[in-house]
Amino acid sequence: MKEYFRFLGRCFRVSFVGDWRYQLWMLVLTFVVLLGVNAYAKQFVHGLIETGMTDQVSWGLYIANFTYLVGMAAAAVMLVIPVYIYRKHELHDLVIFGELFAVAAIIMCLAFVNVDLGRPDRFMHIFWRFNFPRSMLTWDVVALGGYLLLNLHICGYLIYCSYRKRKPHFVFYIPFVFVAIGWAVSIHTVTAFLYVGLGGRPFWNSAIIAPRFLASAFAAGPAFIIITLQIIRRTTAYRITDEALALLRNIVTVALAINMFLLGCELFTEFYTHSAHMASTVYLFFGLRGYHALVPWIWTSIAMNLVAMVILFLPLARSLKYLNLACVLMIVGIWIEKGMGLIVPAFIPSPLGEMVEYKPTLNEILVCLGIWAFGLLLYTIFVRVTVPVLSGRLVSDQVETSGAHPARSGAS
Amino acid sequence: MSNDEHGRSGGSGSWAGFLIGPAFLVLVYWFLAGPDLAEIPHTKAVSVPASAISTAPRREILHDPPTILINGFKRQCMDCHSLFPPREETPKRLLQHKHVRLNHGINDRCRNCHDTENRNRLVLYGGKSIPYNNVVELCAKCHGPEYEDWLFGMHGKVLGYWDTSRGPARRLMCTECHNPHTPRIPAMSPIQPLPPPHTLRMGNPAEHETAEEEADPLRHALRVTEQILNQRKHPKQEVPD
Amino acid sequence: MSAANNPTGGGTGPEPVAPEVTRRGFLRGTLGAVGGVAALAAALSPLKDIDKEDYTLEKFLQKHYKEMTPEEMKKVLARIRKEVEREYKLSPHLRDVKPIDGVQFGYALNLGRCIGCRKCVYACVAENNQSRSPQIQYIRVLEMPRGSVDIERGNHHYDRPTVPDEDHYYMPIQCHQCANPPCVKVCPVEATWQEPDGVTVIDYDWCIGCRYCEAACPYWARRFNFTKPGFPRDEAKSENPCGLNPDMAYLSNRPRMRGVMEKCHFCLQRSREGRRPACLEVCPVGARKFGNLLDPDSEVARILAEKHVFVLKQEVGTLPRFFYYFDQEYPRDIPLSAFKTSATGPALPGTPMTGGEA
Repeated sequence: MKEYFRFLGRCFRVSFVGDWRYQLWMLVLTFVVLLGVNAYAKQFVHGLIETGMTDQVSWGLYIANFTYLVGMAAAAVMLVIPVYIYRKHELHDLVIFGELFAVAAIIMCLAFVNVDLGRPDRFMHIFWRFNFPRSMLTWDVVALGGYLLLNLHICGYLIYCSYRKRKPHFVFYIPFVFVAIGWAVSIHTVTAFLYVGLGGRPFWNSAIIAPRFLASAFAAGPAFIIITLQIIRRTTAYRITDEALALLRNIVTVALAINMFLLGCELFTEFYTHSAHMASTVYLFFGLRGYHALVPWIWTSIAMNLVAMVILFLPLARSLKYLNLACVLMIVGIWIEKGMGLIVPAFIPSPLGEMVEYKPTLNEILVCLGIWAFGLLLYTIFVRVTVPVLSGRLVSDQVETSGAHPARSGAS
Repeated sequence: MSNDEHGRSGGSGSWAGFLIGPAFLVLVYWFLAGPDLAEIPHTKAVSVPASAISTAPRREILHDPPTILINGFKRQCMDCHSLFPPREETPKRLLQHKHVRLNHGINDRCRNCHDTENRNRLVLYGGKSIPYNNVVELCAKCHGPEYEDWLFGMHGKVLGYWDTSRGPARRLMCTECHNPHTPRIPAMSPIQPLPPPHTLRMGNPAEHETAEEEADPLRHALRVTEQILNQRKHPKQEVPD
Repeated sequence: MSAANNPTGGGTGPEPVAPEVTRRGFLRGTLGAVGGVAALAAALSPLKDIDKEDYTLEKFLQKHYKEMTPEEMKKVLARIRKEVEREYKLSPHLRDVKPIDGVQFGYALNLGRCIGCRKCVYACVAENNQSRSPQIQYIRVLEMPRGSVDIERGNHHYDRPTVPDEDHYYMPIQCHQCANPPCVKVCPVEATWQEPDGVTVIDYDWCIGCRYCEAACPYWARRFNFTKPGFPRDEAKSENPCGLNPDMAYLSNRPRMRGVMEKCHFCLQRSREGRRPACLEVCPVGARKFGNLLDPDSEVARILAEKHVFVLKQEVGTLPRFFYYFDQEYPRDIPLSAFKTSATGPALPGTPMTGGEA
């Protein structure tokens, strides 16, 4: 136990150590986090009036980012599936990077939900009167909380074993890995059900939303991991093979194709039926009654996804440069699709047909950026600590010398 | 890029590290003295006068016997009408009571309701005298279905308690809403609506008017019918038979 | 923490366990830490404006409405009374009104009569102490094109010199107090529930402000306090300068706070004491009807029995307690003479006309 806390302490100290690029990156992230904290403090005092949300559009950027990040978190275990089910051992260590990202993403999700609350001071009420299983939001709390714990356990256990130079005992992590795989599907499905179950919002009330969520997440998540792995490969000694990237590329290609197909299915149903329920879809894609704030966004998103798909299907994608381009296009394109494209238009027009558009305020954007920066900060630290542990440069001193001298605490 | 010791934080890093603290101080200055980027829309409260939301009936009913002001003096009907005996009634222009506009459908004779002998009262066909302050029975002689609805509170308005074991309820009389001479509500008194909603960040909805749905057969039929009826109401030219 | 002479992740040697602490490194680290803490403190500086009364231990420990004993409720009511007195300078008649046994409230609205004057909207605001700025109103009146009951085609913002307009009819919409309320189902903390008399209420002291209910409601009946409710203050008045309605109940119209949901509750403070809702009493044309659905002699029970009522958005399966009906010809002002009629009735094909046109 004492050793474990020493491990945490060393991790903490290591996270401050790095070259100037690392320091600068962390400093910039810290600055953005602080800007976000400041913006949130204002919102905390004055209320959600600081955001662009209204009674008509009652969920905005916060919930959009939440939805997107749930997908990213779920997609991180896409890496797990080939490793443990198909025994692709070249990915074995990389799984940890995926799961660490899942941890960071879930923490960001929880932060986004929290900043969206009108009364965050009453958050504890959710434990005192938990409306389970009736409210899908309580399902989501269970799903996200459970997923966070699962991934913390798996990553923590594997990293700590590596630190102690012990071989991980499969009983302590293989069952959890398989639970996590199922759980990953569930977090995104439950989040989709959050919206799908609302009969009063025809834009969401479609069974295809959950599969669309999964498909888009399994495109954007691994795309993010592809880019992260390359950054790790460039900045550290950690060896990441091209085969690993190629496998991820295949996952991304298939997921993106399925995502586009499902989007097509949805659009056909809406536009060919031509019922009154397509008002939100019309608003999103073409504008309605003279309002068209979202139109440029969604077409940008579709263009980005299409270009990414074309690149991925061509042999071009074997070049990392083009693969990265496709990944960035996908990450941004799907972010728009999930956020501006899925959450906001369901509120426009309102259930009574009133057109009130949504425009996020600067304060709201700062809060979002702050949370993103916080998540990236966490993930950077995770990776910063994990890489030396996995490559055997940060090991328990008990492994080598029995009489380890207590670590001198540095400054800060 | 090489994977070996590339990013050693040597010389430049060590002095650059001293900038971290001051850099934070810039941020401190920004938070404390910088511009407040948060925007809170302050909308002016829309208030309406208390009279606009008064629950008082739209009309005041007359007493029994009714009084009217003539040259500043309260007079009862019979004060004058006992001097002027009733005449044979034909549709005619009123010489007195000029404010009265009779638009009561096919009921276009004064003495269908007014008692020619006792102007202080109204009268039923059978000769039953009806006071001005309780005309329901009189109206009911033609408006049976409305009367029945009114009895059960379905027509008209009831003020006060829905649970009459706890308190009184007051059912408004016909004439507390309807002008007996022009009883149709919209024709009687179109009123100014209270202000439209002005909610948070609503924008200006007037800039975006709803496009009419031209293809709707029902709307089309209504428009055509209306044109024809208007033409009949104000015939500019003979419509060929 | 010293970063000097440490390879970053790129090294091949062991990661230093305890890096050498140099004087320079220590100074640099301290400077950074102090700066960081100062920046965090400055970032949190807006919190100094917070209303401290909003975060008392008493409020934090307050129980859910359904778990409170009568004594605890008494204490809470006393606290709220004190708060209202301090904040709004009036002593409210505040109590917790309980549902009446054997009563299920219902509401019916006669669309044939409504003239769209919006008096109900503002009477409701005055009765139920909604925020004036930003504006919160429970009732929306829609100006509907004739021939459509699709509320998405209504105009919310009509602003005519006079109403009614002949080419439209008017449809006020407020909470339908559904028997199968989607808003109740989705609330993660059970801050909203349906009472035995059918009214869906909110414990304003329990709501966490997630707005899931607002997204779930197909009738857009719920409103959120995006900030502390604002009332124009008449400083000349020493008592009740905000003009609040002092007749208050815990679950209905007591002043709300920032960040919680609110909605129409059929004026519980009135209706549970046998009175009619404010929107009904102000209606100049008697289009609104309210009463006990379980009493066959009540206005609304008779309307359900005798009129052809309908509910909005029946397809979403929410089973509203709010019914609409038309019971008269559309009140247009086309004189009878405009129609081709004769003494024996309208001109039908094959019917011989008696005499010429009127």
